[in-house]
Amino acid sequence: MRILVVEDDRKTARFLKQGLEEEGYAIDVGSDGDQASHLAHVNPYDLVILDVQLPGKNGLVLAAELRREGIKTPILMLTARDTTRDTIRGLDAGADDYLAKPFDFEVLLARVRAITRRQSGEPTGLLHFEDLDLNRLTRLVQRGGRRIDLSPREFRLLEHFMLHPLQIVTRTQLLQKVWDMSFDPETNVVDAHVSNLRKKLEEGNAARLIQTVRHVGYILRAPEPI
Amino acid sequence: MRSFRHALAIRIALAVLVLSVFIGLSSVLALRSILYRQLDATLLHLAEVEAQAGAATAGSDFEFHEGVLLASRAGPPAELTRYAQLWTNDGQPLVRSRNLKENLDLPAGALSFAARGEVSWNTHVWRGQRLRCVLYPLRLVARSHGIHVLQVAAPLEPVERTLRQFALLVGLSTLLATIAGYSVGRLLARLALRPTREITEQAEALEAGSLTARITAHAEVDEFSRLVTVLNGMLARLEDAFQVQRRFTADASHELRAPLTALRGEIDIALRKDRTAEEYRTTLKRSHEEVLRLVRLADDLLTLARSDAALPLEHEEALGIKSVLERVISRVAPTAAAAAVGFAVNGADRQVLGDPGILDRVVANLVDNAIKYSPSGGTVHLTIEGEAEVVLTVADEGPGIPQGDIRHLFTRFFRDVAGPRAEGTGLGLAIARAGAEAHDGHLDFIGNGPGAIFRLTLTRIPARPAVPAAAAADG
Repeated sequence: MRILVVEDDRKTARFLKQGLEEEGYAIDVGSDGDQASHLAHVNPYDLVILDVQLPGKNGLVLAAELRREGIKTPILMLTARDTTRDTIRGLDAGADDYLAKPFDFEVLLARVRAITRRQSGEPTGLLHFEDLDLNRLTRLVQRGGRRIDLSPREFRLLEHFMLHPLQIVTRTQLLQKVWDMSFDPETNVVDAHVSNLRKKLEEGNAARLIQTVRHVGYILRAPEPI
Repeated sequence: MRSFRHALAIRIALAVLVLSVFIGLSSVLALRSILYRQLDATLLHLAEVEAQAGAATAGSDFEFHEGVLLASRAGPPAELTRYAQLWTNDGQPLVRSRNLKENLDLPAGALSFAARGEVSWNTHVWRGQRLRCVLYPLRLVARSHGIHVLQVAAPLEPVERTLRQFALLVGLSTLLATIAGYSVGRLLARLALRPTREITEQAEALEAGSLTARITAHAEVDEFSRLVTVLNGMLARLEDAFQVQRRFTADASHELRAPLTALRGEIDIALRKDRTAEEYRTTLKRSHEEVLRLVRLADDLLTLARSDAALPLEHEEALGIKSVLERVISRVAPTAAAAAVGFAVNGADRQVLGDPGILDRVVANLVDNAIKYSPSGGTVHLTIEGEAEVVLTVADEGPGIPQGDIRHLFTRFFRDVAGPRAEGTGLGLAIARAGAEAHDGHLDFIGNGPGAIFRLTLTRIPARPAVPAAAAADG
């Protein structure tokens, strides 16, 4: 899950980045409308958290522009104004949800979960593959009823695999969806995390579910019977 | 509540009443005078006719022309009833008309008038009825001694009855006219008030939120156009004030929410899980910064609210502008040193009357801005000038104010987007200008030269006068 935070108040941007990263989301920050517009065009975000009052291009204009250009990434709008009129204007401009400042961070997280859940077409938030269960709300992961503790990044990695089961997932995709811009794509950060994730999933000699596709990436698939 | 319609109607009704009563009374009096004159003429005519006829008689054989002139037979119209009687020169009744059962009264003095050959008139009550009579001297041809008196009388009752009926008619007309006057008054008042009512209704329909609407009713009518113009002018001013207020509230709300959001988010996140002491310290430090930002903002908003309320200065004293400048410079010295910005102060000290706290704030805001925009190694030029006024010019060596921003410089919460905006509240210049205006002075942006130049103008008071020579001699 990769999120673009567009916020000109650097202190607000700082805590949003910190808090969301602690949840395992990959966060990029844009501090003005033009920069945010550029980022949204370049990177495949799962969500844009957009402040309304921005220098340069304001949030309403930016949202309308992104929609006009066919970018369907969900937008959660943040604003210092919570009048009915402003809410309507925000939603009409293309936002999917609306939150007035100052907000409860837990509420923000719940809205982020709700929007990304709707987006992935898994309204229950419960993902299942073979004997593997993942709850996107409680972030509980179980294999055959046994609980597995994952780091936030590992959780997002597994979540991405389980959202795309039986599909080849490239390293580039993972870098784009689970990591933010600050990671150098040349490193083997993806392989290292996949390796750790496999170790935790395969504890107690359980079968390997994340298979390597040589030179391409990975696939979530039951092992082929020998 | 007093009703204009009622009051107007009452006035019109009163006017009609007074007029009607006046006309009524005059006509009754005029009619009375006419009727009396007619009656008198009739009586005199009768007396003359009878006298001519009777002059030839001996008096006692005098005969009135009963059938022709006097209503003698039963049932004549009361209006035509006339009595006649002949008296001797010593007041003895001689002959009376047949419709008289007894003698008339001879008014006192009638004989002496007759003796002088003069006609006299009299009105008196006889047997319960008022009589009008003419006393006509009658010189009998046969009886050469003395002059007889021919009395011809008519009851006044018919004339008075006519007058009574007429007066009643006039009274009724007056009443009707008064009532009609009242009704017409109400109607006129209603017609006259209809535009007012329609203007009122339109004004009522305007709500606080829809101040953009204007009153259109009767705006083209001469008598009401002024009222409508005045109301619309008031609406326009209200709308402006409302807009400014709304923008200020929205901006203030935004400015307050930014630090609150950061503060709340920072704390929310810190509390989500156990953290190291270092992390807690970082959170507290950041929170503290936000609290300081809030305190600054609250102070600034309070200052502005006070100046908006146009409170009089709490404290005023004569002070030298240079001392204000020196205080401010010593206070900002650490900031200036950190930014490697120096000061150049020019001009002799001048006295102003003012609140030192507020003037400090005004000057400090200007100097703070100048430091903020000065390049490293730059100088802030502070110049004191002026004869009748004290003019303080603050010029920096920075990039100057972008052309597009000049218009908004003193607007509350306006901040130069490209500039070093992090620490300001966006209220500094607005507060400085309010402070200058509280001192009957003004603060203006002069231009870019190329750095921004601001000019503060205050009223100068003469320096304390030198001790007079006489006083010195006394000492």
